[in-house]
Amino acid sequence: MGQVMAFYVFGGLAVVFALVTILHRNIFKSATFLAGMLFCLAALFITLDAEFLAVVQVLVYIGAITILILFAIMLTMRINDETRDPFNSQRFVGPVIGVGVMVLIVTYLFKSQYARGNGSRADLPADLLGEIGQALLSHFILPFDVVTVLLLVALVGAAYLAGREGTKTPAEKAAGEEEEKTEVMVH
Amino acid sequence: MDVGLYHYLVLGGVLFCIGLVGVMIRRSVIAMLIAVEILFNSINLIAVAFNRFVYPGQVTGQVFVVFIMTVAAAEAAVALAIVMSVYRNFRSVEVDGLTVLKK
Repeated sequence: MGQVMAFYVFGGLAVVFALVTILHRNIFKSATFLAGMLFCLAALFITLDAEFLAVVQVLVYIGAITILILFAIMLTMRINDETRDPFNSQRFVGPVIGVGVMVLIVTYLFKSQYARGNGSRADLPADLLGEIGQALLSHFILPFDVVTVLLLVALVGAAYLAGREGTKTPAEKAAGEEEEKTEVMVH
Repeated sequence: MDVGLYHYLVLGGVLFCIGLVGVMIRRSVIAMLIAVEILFNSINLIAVAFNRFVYPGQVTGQVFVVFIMTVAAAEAAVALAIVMSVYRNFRSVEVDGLTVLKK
């Protein structure tokens, strides 16, 4: 009973938050509602007996990715400028395609022979977290290693892309300053 | 009535479509990235639901979700670094203006 209620409450909230996230004019609030949606999904993970993933979801998604997005918003956008139209010319085509894809997914979902199964709680491993750790370091050791390298590459790449200004040659720097000066004079 | 696999799959499908619409209709690159995060999360939900209801004795779905989260974190970091770089060059992060490759 509790699981049913939790599913409907957090599932409904997740859908509402996701809709607000994509439709809100103020992108800062949009990112904040994204955090709310991620939290609802963490709750849904708990209803699916995946407590470890719920904790990781809160740590990685809400604690890291949302904060990163908020920093990027604050560094690049004028968030109080709500007069600017946030939607592009596909604003009417997009929802039509979205609803079409949804109808397609749901129709074929109920016809699918793979979407079956009603596993009970009794079949869950006693030590779920231990099983995940065992699987990560035995059966999935190759993807695990590849992902560690990927994270290193992403770290170096992000630092390079975001901080490239410091590596300009002196001549380029001078040219840039010259440009800024002329811009100031024009204004 | 109990909550079964179909409930989670339909919820995941709805969230996926919301994310899809978000990617299509927003003008700013950062808003599109936010919508992509919604897409990733709907897939995570579906993977965990399949794991729980089809093979409850195994942890493969949950391990997949751990990998998806890692790759999503790496993606977000690199994508936002690219956004910073784009902002520095164009003074704007709206996709309408990024047409340099077309010329």
